Amino acid sequence: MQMSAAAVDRFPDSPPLLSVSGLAVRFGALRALDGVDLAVQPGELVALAGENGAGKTTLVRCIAGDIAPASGRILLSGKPVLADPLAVAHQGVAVVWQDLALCDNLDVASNLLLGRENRRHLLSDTRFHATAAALLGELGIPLHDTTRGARALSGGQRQLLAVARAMARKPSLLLLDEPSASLGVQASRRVEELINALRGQGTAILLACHDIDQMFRLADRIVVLRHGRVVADVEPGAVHPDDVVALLSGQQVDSSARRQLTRLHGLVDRLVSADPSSSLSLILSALGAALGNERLCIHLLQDDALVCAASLGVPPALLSAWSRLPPGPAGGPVGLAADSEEPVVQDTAQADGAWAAFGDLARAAKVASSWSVPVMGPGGLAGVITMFRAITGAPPRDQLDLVTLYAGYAASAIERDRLLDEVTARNRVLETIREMLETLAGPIPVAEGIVVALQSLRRGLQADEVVLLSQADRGPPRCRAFAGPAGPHRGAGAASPALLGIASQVIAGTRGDGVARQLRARGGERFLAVTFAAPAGPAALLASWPGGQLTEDATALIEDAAHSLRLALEREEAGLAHQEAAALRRSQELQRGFLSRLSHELRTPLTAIRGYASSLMQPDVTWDGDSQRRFLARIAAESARLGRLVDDLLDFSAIESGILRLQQDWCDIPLVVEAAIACLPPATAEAVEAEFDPGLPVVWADHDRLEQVFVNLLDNALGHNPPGTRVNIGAKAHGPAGVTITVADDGSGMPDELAAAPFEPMRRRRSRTAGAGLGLSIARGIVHAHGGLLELDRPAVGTRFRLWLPVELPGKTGSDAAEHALLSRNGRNRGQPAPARTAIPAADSGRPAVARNEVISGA
Amino acid sequence: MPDSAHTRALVVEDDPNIVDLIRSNLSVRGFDTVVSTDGNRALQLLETESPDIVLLDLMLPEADGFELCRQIRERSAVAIIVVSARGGERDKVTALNVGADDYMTKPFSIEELLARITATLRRTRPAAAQDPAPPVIAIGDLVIDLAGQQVSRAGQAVHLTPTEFALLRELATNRGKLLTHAHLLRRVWGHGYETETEYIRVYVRRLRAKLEAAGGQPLILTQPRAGYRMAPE
Repeated sequence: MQMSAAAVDRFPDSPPLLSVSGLAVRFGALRALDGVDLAVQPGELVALAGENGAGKTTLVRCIAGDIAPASGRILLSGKPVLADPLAVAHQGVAVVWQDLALCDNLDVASNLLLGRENRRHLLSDTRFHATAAALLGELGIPLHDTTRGARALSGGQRQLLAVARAMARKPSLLLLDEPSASLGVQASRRVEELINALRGQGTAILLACHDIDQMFRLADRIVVLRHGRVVADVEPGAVHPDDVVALLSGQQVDSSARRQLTRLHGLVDRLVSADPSSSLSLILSALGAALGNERLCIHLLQDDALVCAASLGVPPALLSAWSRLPPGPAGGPVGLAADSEEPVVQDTAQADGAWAAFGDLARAAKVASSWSVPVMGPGGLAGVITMFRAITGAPPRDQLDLVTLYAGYAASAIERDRLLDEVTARNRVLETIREMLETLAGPIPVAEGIVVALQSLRRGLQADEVVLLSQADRGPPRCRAFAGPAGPHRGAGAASPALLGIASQVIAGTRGDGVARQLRARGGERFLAVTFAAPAGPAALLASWPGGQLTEDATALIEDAAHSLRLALEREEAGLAHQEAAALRRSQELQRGFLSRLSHELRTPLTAIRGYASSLMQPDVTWDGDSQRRFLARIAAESARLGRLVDDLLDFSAIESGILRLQQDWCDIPLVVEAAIACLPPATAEAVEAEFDPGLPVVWADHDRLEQVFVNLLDNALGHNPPGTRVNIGAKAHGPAGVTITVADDGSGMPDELAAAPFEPMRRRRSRTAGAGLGLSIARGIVHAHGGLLELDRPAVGTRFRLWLPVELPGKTGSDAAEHALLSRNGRNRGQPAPARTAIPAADSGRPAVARNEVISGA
Repeated sequence: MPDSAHTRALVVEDDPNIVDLIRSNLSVRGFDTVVSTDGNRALQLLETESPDIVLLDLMLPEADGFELCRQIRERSAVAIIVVSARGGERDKVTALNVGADDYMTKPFSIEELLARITATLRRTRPAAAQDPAPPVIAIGDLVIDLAGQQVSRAGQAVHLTPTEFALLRELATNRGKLLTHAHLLRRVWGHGYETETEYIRVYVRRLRAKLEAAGGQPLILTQPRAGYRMAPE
């Protein structure tokens, strides 16, 4: 036996009073009942619903014992019911037939007590009627004249009488077949009251009817019969009357409920695809159509006030007054609903109540009653929907429920809008952070990356100006990058002085803890500043909003940005440190290599000298004259070579330490060049051609040193090229203040690895004419000491060195031949960059001195 | 002066002055000298001339001196003296590790050159017959044939350079006795070598690598800071 869950709750342990199983009844070929199961508990009212011919009456007749079923079983309190009406009556079943089965020829009392008369009744009329009257009184039936004939009663009275007769027996099961089919409203109501009373006494009631409303009013359960079968066994609370109708007739009824459902589906579809800003209007219009009322408005809770977000058909006067309402009584019904989070139904707007503050408005707007329903979102009250009516009265329950349902949709829509806004804002923030991180972590140099990152940050913060300052070594703060309305800048760019001023103050004042702080300027602008510790010193990130409207996420965003910028600055510093370390390593390697080569270069001639000398001194050997002469010549030659090496080394060392001494005088370049050529072996000297511009000025220079320069250049040209190479030296004036000399050969050109750093101490294979490879380096050192320039060109054929000498250095000329020029390490000469140097230990110092390759902007 | 009538020297050196020096001084004392200025030619001459001693400059322009030394050592047990302008201990140990018998730095005097040549040659010549030691010494699975200058281990011949053999002979003929570094250096390398402790360390390591089985009984025992001894019976 199936019982509804509520029935189980209400009648937990009691077995059903009536239990029908598998009941089948056939009238010929017609199956009036086809396997019906039913259970009714004591005190339960089960309505039997079904259209005519569905089998209701047949079932009742079976249970009443009036007809015998073809199959199945009926149990009453566990005992089977036989097809014997009298026996069934004795079992405590009372029936009120549809046709009432009253005896028209008898009076009320007789009908009432029919079949229950006892001797006393029969003996005394008075007692008879008194008993009848008492019974009727007990049942609350207003039939006072028990002597009236049944025929004379009205339909309602007859029905009541029939019910009274059935009830008089105090049955345990009451069967009613269409009890109020022909009754008016009042009578119907009385019958229902009676039935309810009986139920309250624990009688089980089976009510066959087809008045859906009555079913819903009275029944604990509704069993729907259709074509002799039970098609539903439901509770009224769980189902809509229209659905019962539908079940009865087996067709979809386009009831108002179904219409509502369709409308809701449609609304949901539209909401899903609608623009968030229009969802509230959609909801209101759908609700208005659903209620058949077109005056609605919805208020949203914003910052402790109820702001009207959408309205439908509300008169302007009311609308403007209600555009913003406080919660609580001052906000009228809307405020009250918001405060209490319960619907506020105002039957009469004029009366004292929620409309007290707005009485006049209500009148003017022809608002007679209103309902305000709170919209509850996930975080609590989201808003209030209010409906206005031109008539007084409370809304029907189902309309109120409908509004609550729509309020739920409104809550979802509001929440969705809020989430979308949040997501958009968060997206913007995330997007900004992502852009910044990508930029700062990417391959572009940090200095540029910072500029781009500040641009992204400015967009993300929706700020007017953003600036990053850093301060190194207690110097002045330096603007690293700026982003403003006109675009980004490296350096201060178009940053307003006010902004820079504030930024400088901030960097000096606040702790570098990466926490954002708000500042306000006199002009009402707002600033957010974050100071943090960058590797080189404190840094500050500052953003300004002229209108004073900071975004909510601004603080978190600017702090995150500061963190990313700090990482970028660290990366920059690490990069610089790395470069420095690499330069130092390189210079140390070069040093080691140089020293190693140098020691080798020096030891080679020494070996020869020592070897030959000790050979000559061997006591046990006598050398022939040729050998002797040869040995001695070699000793001499190697000594000379050693001497040259040592000289070169000393020159180089002096140049590196900046203490090269020049003995300067006015020099005639052609003479110097010729002297240099004369130092060459005659054979090679022939390969050199010299040409000089007429009118070449004399230059203030050290004659011997210049000669050394030319000798080195010529040596280089002739020594490293195949024989037959021709060399050309040319000199011409370069403006009034300088001279350019070129030494060009048409030889095999310089190998790439040497051309990369031609003036470094050369790493060369051992060559017989080798010095320590310092020739070009020394030449350049001497030229620089004169304030000149020496550069290498690589023409298509051969090699060319280009030398520029100033006629004189400012402030250094004089006719004093002994004057010397001292040059500081980072000597700057008329806008020329300081030469890149590799360190060689100066003669006496134990430490290598490292100079960073820097471009120093010209003075 | 030792008999050098048939002694041939291969000089691998590119500096003409040094070549001249060495050649002059060696020929006046009766050596044959063959000169090569580059590594490949040197290996060829090693085959064709069968020199008794090689004088090898580590700083050749076209070759890696250490690699060349190793290649010479792979092909021959000839005495090798390396000459280098660099003087670091690391270079010396490396040279000895790749098979050099001696290491000389530039600049050197002729006396030094001759002294080292003599010492090396003596060391790498077979022992004189009047050596009182028994002709064959057996230690564990090692068989040392003093006269024939052969060593075999578990029946397999082991190739030792003359210097290695000389050191092994010294240790084996004084089995169980502690021999100081100085003693070993003087006996094996010659007078003047007493302080060249890198030599002894490198050569002991080479002997161990060739003669001792990993995880087996040690053959040469180290007395820290004092010297070495051959494992007693």
